[in-house]
Amino acid sequence: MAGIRLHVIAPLVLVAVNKCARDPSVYVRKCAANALPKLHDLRLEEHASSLEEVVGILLNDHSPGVVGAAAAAFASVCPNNLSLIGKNYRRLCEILPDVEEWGQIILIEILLRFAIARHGLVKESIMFSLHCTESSHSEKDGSDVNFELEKDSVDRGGAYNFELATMVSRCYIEGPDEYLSRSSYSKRVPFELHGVKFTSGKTNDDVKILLHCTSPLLWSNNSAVVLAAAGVHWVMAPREDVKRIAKPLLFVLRSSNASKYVVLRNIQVFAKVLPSLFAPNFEDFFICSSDSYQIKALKLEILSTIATDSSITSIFKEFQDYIRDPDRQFAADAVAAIGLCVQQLPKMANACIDELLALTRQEFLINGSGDGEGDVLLQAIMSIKSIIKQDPSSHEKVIIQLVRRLDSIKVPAARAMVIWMVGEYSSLGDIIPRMLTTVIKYLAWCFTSEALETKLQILNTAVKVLLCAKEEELCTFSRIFSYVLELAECDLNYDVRDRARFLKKLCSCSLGSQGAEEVTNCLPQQKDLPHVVAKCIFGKQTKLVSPEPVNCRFYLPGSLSQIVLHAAPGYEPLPKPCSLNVPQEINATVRGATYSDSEETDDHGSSSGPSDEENASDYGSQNSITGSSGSDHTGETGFTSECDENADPLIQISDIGNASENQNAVSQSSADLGELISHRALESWLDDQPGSSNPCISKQTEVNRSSARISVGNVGNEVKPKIYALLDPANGNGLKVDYSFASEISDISRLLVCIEVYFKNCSSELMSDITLVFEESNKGLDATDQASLANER
Amino acid sequence: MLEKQLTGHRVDRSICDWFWDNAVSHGESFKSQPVIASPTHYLFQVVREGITFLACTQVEMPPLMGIEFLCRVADVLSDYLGGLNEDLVKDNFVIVYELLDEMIDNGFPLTTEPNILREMIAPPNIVSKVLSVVTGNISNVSETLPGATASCVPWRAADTKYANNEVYVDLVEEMDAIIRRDGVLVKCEIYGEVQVNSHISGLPDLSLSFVNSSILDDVRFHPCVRFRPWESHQILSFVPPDGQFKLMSYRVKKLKSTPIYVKPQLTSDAGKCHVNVLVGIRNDPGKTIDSITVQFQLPPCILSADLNSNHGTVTILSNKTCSWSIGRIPKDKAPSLSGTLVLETGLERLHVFPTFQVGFRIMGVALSGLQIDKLELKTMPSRLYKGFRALTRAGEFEVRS
Repeated sequence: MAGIRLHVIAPLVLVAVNKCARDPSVYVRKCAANALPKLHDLRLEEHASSLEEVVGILLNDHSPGVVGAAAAAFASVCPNNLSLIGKNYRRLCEILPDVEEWGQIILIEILLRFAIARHGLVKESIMFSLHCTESSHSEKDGSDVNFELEKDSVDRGGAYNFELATMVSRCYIEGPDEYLSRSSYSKRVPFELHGVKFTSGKTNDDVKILLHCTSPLLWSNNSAVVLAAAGVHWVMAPREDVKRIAKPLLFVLRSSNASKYVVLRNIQVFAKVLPSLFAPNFEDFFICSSDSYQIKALKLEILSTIATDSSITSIFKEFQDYIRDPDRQFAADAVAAIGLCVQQLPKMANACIDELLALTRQEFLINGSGDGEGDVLLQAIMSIKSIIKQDPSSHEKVIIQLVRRLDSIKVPAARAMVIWMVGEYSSLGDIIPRMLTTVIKYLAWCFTSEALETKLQILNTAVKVLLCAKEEELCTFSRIFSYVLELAECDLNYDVRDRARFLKKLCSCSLGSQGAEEVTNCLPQQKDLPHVVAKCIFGKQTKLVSPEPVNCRFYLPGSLSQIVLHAAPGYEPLPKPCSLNVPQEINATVRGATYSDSEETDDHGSSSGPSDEENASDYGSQNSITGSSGSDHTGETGFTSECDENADPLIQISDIGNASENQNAVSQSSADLGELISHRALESWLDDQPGSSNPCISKQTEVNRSSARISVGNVGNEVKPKIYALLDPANGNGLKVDYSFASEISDISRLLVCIEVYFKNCSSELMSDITLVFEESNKGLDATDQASLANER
Repeated sequence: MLEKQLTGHRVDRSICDWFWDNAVSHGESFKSQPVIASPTHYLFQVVREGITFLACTQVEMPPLMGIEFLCRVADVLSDYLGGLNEDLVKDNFVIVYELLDEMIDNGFPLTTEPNILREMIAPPNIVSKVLSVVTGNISNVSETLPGATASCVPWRAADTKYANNEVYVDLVEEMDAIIRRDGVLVKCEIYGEVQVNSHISGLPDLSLSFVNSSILDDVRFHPCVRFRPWESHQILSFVPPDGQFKLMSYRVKKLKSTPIYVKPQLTSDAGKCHVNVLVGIRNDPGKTIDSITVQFQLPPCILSADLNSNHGTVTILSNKTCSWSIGRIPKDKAPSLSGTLVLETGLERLHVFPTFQVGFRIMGVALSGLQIDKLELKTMPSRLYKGFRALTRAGEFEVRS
């Protein structure tokens, strides 16, 4: 009857359901539970509470069949009313293995949410161990700059997964949108610092029973149940027990193709965070010819993440087989994967380079024939490039070999890449500089017959070589350079012409001084400025690692959002740890009165999306400034006690304040830059072309690059512009700087993005002389920034 | 196209149009995408024998739940209709709808156990078809509720009666292997299933144990299996559903050798490629290996092929799939396939190499070595006929060249 969906009869149906929920027959109760979501769909506001009441009754049922249906009803009727679960938590856990499989999926998720909300994260789990490292970080260094540095060093030290996993767990809890919108680390909600919010898996019975009851479900016949159970273990289980989920997950791979893809997507995340989990089972990711392309690509990626010293030889041999696969796109991916592996395990560098070089030798015989061959060659050269980048000096011979083969490499992108290497490592070792003249002459000679990207790259290389050249060769180089410039200025393509003019202006001084007289050092001052600029632009490229499309969004394992990589409507991150009423009172008493109001915000925290964000940031600022939030309060005395560098409260905002502000701005902008990169990476991820953007990056000049990083717009995801905090009043002496991406396109160039920067004086004093200082690489932004700045204020 | 609306808010049919537009324009790559984010909905897609099963949702849900359900629907349909193709679905429209009605309600899976479904909706057969034509009564939904829905064992009806009690246990194993270009066996594992066909009256409680359960690397169970006895003693204790079902599936990893070998050799020179494939028995499993096939996809750069074998038949399909069916390996000679491939003009030598997929079947042997110890009936002392069988066939058995 509930299926009729008429508002008129709904109250009647409700009465009937109420009655049926207490019926002696299991089947009737089950049907009553099934009817509940239908009633809920009618959106009868006035009956909401009675619906919840019925759900409560049904959850209390002792028959597994009813509980399964009731869980489904709970998930649709009142997913946030976790206290309903609280009453029956233990019994639900115990009954879980007997519930029918579809109900299990839902029930597992509900129980996980409840456990998190009730007890917080488990101290021994992966999620927590990361918080530990993080909290020790922030305790150690306190300030932002150090933290960034520390983070970097951790990354390089191979413990990469810490950072990632922190991100993962935070994404689980807060939802990635909210997490990413927090630009700076200082604004992070510091709740994880409080040990009170954590519980130990060993002592807490509730957690133990949940893990105990979900572990047999890993043997379930239903892949969805397996994944859901694995998700619980992933989040809650002690570190050493997580490995239990590996085998069942891999076993699920043997079922249908469709579920294989979904499971692999989840394994991909697990493997990134904890490569050791799947490292012993690397054979399971070997590729079958029957796999679809997406599955092959995923397997490759996972293989390259979990490769270890012991397994790399066999993995590497596999890759060699893949290169011979008829699917050339896949072969190209395999070549790229080799490069990735070597980045993680530098030991293999020499063997890999040999193989890749052999590949370039072999591929050029047939280049241009198939559409895929070019890709393979390009990927091979890109892999070589990334390997060389790790240790340029030891691979000098490789560069020479590549350069020698330049004539036979016909694929434009690959050519451009080799030419880039020439420019980049022009001063490396002692053989390369000697052959440089010949190479440059050769390049100039074939300039006209090149493709667009190669032309641009030749121009860049010529400049680089020119800048690094020694005295005696300078003359030849500058002559060649001006020859190339002349050719380029007459080119058909306007990009090339633009580039040529730009470079001409930039290098005019050095050129002029060279061309006119041999004595260069007489005009040091004149030459200085453009020279330095040019050096900055072209010298910098070594340092910049092409931003990998790191996926910064992580959703709960097994969720739809994790597969499509954006929050599907209805996606809810895990509840805030310990947000349930009971433990909150305890916490509040422990932490004292200062936190009472922040607790309140936390209380409502899990209710809805946008307001959630507000609350969270509110919460953050309250915690960090202890008491003062918003703009009306001065907070001067509040935070000076914390930031001892601004110890003197009497200081007017003068030079000193300014300096410190600039400092802050700089330090923030690095974080800010990181965020921009992640944004770009995200977008490219959404556009489904991972990796394809890499080849262009090396060729673009600085200006292009910095603007390309924020490729226009946020793809309509946002209706209202999001405001990102650049500087919050706590750090900036009461100066609050926010920025947002404006929706209109810049009138200077389509490639640039308008940024609106909002300044707000939160302190009582007058501020003056505020300047914006950007880091070198932000140059592209600078101009537009100033422009819109004028508009704003 | 078949459609079942589940929730009150109707899903517009245009989503299917969108899907087809994309499927046509993107071709294969779109078809292999299990989760698709369309502008308005998220689609889950399962393709089975040319029939696409789609499910769509607008909100967050576990994607595997959707996919798994679609797989079940496909299984049940092919079980009912005895296969899956467009005509069969067209002919049995009513049954398909009835099944969908029972299997899912308001977007949540309801009854997916095939045995229970069978009780609720009678499978199509000639008699019922004739009856429905004669009487005009097309309903084949049984009037009474199946007893199982009320019992605590939802997969079994309470009152089944058989004259003689029988239970058959089949071990069906598939061997997955990857042999690398240099002939090294990199991966060799068995994926096996324990299939049980039970015809026992009443509510029997069976327990099954293995001689060497320690070799099992990983297991998955039918919902009827109790977890506790397995955890403690590796005993499968269960109340079986009636009829045929898959009791458990297991995996045995790291096997050392394969029963047969396949040695492909490809040498290319001056626009021609010589192929030579040898097949033989590596270590004899003790039973005859039959229906041996070798299949491979010729690379796209090959213009024509001329292949001969000294045993069995070779066919080359239009999509450049070449299959060589050998059957049994004769005693006196080793079967071999040889011939030449003509490469595209301008190509000197072959640079991409096909992968050979091998198929075979061995009756009476479980290659993993798994052995059933005993099967006991706990509750009733009545006479029980027990039968055991084993079968091994090739799964994803690949030889790279």
